[in-house]
Amino acid sequence: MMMKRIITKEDYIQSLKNLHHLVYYNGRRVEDVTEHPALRPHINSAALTYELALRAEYEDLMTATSHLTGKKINRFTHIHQSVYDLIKKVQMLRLIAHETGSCFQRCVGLDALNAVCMTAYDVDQKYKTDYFERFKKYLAYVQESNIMVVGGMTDPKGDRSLPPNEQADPDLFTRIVERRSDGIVVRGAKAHQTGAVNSHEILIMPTQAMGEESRDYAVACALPINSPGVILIFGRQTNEERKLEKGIDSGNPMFGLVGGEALVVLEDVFVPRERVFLCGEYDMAGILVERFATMHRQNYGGCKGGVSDILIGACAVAAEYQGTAGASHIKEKLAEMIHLSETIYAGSVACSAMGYETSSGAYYPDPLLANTTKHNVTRHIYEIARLAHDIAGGIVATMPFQGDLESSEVGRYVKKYLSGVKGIPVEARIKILRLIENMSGGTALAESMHGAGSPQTQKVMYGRLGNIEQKKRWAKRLVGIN
Amino acid sequence: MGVRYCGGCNPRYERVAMIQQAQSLMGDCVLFARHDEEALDGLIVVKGCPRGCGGRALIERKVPYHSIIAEGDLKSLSEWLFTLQHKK
Repeated sequence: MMMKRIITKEDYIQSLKNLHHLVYYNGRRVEDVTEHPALRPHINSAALTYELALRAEYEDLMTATSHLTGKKINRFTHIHQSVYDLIKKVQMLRLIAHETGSCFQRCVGLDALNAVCMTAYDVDQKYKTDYFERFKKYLAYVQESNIMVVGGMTDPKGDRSLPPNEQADPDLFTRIVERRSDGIVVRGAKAHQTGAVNSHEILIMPTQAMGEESRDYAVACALPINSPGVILIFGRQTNEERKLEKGIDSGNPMFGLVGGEALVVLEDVFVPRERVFLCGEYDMAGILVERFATMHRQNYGGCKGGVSDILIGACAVAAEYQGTAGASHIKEKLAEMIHLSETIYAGSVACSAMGYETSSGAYYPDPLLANTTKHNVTRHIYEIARLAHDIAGGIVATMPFQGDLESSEVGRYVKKYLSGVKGIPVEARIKILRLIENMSGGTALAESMHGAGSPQTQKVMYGRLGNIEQKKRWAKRLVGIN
Repeated sequence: MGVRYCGGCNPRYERVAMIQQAQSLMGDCVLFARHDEEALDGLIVVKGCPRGCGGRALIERKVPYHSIIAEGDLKSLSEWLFTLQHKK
């Protein structure tokens, strides 16, 4: 069924209510994701991608002009048409992170759309298929309806030493189980799917390069998240029960913690032919994966740079509240946090500035620089978090409950003994420290490590793109070795 | 008076608050509107930092314009608005 055009955040939230998709949280079916306290913060965050696009002060980054229709569209549905588009994407991610202090999830679908666009074109050139035309029709629908798409790449992968077709359970990689004249039937699962429970569609891609024997696993297709056979199981986060309290202790009550990930089970799901963009062309799976990974790794200096801006600001406020802002070691640590944050942002801008046009017409960031950026994120965000804990002090891990602060029996002690600089309300100090706690531990860190691919996947790319043979020639030439 | 903002990726001041302050200063004498409104007497280009992404593309209307890039630019903006109003 075609989705009604989504314009406002209210439209978006209503559209999710209408989905009636199959979501589970802690073993129980969630009838309405928008009313669930553990899911709602993530929905609020994604909803800002709609709201900010309507604000005059953000429209230059939040919107773009469709190359298909010439209409103004949300940038999260845009195919990059220039280097400037690539840079604007990174800038957009940073600005949204300033509003949410958390992941807003919609970049995954944007990257999937761009990766599939480029690759569908290339597959057509090689195999005389019609995937690119199918994709353009799908893209026109996405742009017109302004739906949120989750990019489904990561398969569970079972025994990592074995290819898909040799797994004990063949469903551990998503695969085609039936080819019909009107479409295909897919089975398997997609893991760690950011924003899946509040997306309208999933755009499935292969998880890795495939050999001929794994041709049934070389599949890219789009399907509504409420299709029969799609089951979503929401992932448990650190301190997630605090979201149920809707108070100070959750740290970021409005927007939660990272993206809200889910295991998406695909139990014999039918996908109509016009929504299939790769179907057995196994030799093209690798380039599709590489493109999606590159475009997703391009992002991380943008969103994590923006999130780090919030964390740095929170640490500076905490230092003021605690009377340490004037200490030279605190200034030094804040400066180091800024250095690390701007370094990752610089990487994202650089890989965008060095981007280029692909055969499809879509623009693509420099893959080596994009991978380097994400690799830096796996390190720098941990170091930023370490410095945040250092500045905040041990209190970040030992504060009493909000209930204690508000208690008629012990509240006065909390207010007395957690006070800092005179005149600063204790509640304000607790709020800012809880925000630091939320942003610098547990799930937030693991997401920086593994989101868009684990560090080893970036190192693999260095081996392929690092130009080592040329580097050897330069070294030998310099000292006269033939 | 049209208001045209840069994208706002990492602004160094509160851009919207600056325009609100300018509106307070000018009172009913000046009506602030979106940059794409049809009839404009002038355009305020609000850049969040000295780079001013968008450059000339932000100034797409054939009307007098004034750019602001920092918190301290409120004075020059209000002077420009008063001058424009006086000419009119």
